[in-house]
Amino acid sequence: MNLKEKMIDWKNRLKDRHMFSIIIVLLVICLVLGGIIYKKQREYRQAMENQYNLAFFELVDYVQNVENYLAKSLISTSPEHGAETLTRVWKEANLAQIYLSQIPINNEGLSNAQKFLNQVSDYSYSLSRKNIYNESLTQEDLDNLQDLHQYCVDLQNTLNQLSAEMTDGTISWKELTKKGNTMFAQQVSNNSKDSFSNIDSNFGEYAGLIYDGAYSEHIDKIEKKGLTGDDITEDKAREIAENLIGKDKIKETSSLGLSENGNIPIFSFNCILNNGDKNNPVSIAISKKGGHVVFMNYNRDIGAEVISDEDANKIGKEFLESKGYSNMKETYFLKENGIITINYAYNQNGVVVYTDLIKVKVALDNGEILGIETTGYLNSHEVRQIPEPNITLEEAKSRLNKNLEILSEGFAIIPTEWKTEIFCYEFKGKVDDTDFLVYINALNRKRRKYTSYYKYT
Amino acid sequence: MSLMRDKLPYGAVILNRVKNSSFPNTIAGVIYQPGAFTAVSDGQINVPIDSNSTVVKAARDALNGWDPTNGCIYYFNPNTATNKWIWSRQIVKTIGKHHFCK
Repeated sequence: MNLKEKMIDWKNRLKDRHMFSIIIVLLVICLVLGGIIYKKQREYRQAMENQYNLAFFELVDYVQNVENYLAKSLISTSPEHGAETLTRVWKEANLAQIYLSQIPINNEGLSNAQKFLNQVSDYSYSLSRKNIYNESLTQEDLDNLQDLHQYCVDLQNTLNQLSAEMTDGTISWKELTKKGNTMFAQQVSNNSKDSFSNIDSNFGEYAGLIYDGAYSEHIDKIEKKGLTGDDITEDKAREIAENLIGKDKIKETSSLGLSENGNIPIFSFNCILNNGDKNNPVSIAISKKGGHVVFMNYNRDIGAEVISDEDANKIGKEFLESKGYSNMKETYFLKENGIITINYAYNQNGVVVYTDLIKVKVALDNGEILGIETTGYLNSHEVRQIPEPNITLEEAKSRLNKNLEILSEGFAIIPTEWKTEIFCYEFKGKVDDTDFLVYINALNRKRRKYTSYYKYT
Repeated sequence: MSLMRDKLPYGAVILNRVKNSSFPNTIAGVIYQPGAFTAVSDGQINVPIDSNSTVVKAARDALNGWDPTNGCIYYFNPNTATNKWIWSRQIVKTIGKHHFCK
């Protein structure tokens, strides 16, 4: 009854003209607003779709160009021509890779295609360098190019198919959205997803490439020369971790266990400091093999800076020496928010070995060591056989830019992107007001000269 | 409170992706890859942060090479992840709420 009374009451009120027109006006406002929101929504969606279409059709074009130039590279007759076509492959594949990554399909669905394009780009760059230094491509290089070309033809066919389906409306970005705007990018309907998974299934057999470049397959599998010694127990690791910061400073240590599948198998610990917040522990990782410190890290608010850069460097170096890392030389530092991070490189008889790198973080308010990171050192450190240079200092100097004002000179071992090492002359110098580090290969006179100019601050 | 402990691994994952051939080669490319990170999809990424915040310190540490994930390129919350594929990855380490994997 109550409800019925209310209804009647409402009806009576609606009969009142005044009320009636108010409701009509509200209704109209709602409709208009709804219309505007709907239109805006459509505009946004259209803008996104256009963006995705752009990325997709650019991808189609660039892959076509990659295929084209790869085919040409197979029949090039001179190093000059080879260098020219391969630098085109490098550029076109790089752009294809950038556009591929903008397509709204989860990365796992396209990761093989992504890797393929990255390696084609990087590999052709590496081969074009060979050509530029007047080396011919080996039979292995040509076989690789042939394989890559075949994969590229397959990729191109899949893309053409998708492109046709996109044009005739069989698949569209529109049906990719099901769960509202924020999820737009992640949700792909099964129909379209299947079509797109064809891109990746081209690469079922693709084993990846091994070559002189950063994306080569061998990079992760390189032996870690500095990771020496026998396996240790967790108790031993805990002791090493606690000694690193000093047992007297620790209130409580908790173990986070062993993680074996990472780059370096490590025991992880969190240490709460006596004077520290229990929610902000020092985190420490100790390698299972040999019990090396892999990293330690801590952050806190820093008070007034009273420690100079030189003093911080001294503190960092003493810390390293006390932990058994001798002959470490400071090479670079970065200062921010009261914390200085100093890079130390191993120094053998005056040769700076840049691969064997340890980073140390020092607080500039009280000189506390806030962090250490040793993976560079663990990956590559060993006592080096330093060779005799094949070119003289004077010869090396004659290769420098005439405008370079030399401030200092010495020897260094520097890493390549594919983790080999080059024995070089190192010059610190100035052109106008910009500092440079210049490296000149000290061993190879004829073959690949290695001259690099690093802007240095 | 425990922001510091929480944020560094995510920065490390981004940088590990930049170095990985199956991902874009730039930091922006990795962060803005469609659907790669929910914090980007839902716009959280645009919340302004103080330059002295622990998040910035974590980002700086990640850029300087500290990697508590030990080389991971994925992470997921085991309580909410519905994607079967992600469970097929090899889990390296659990940090906070997330499994980190390669």
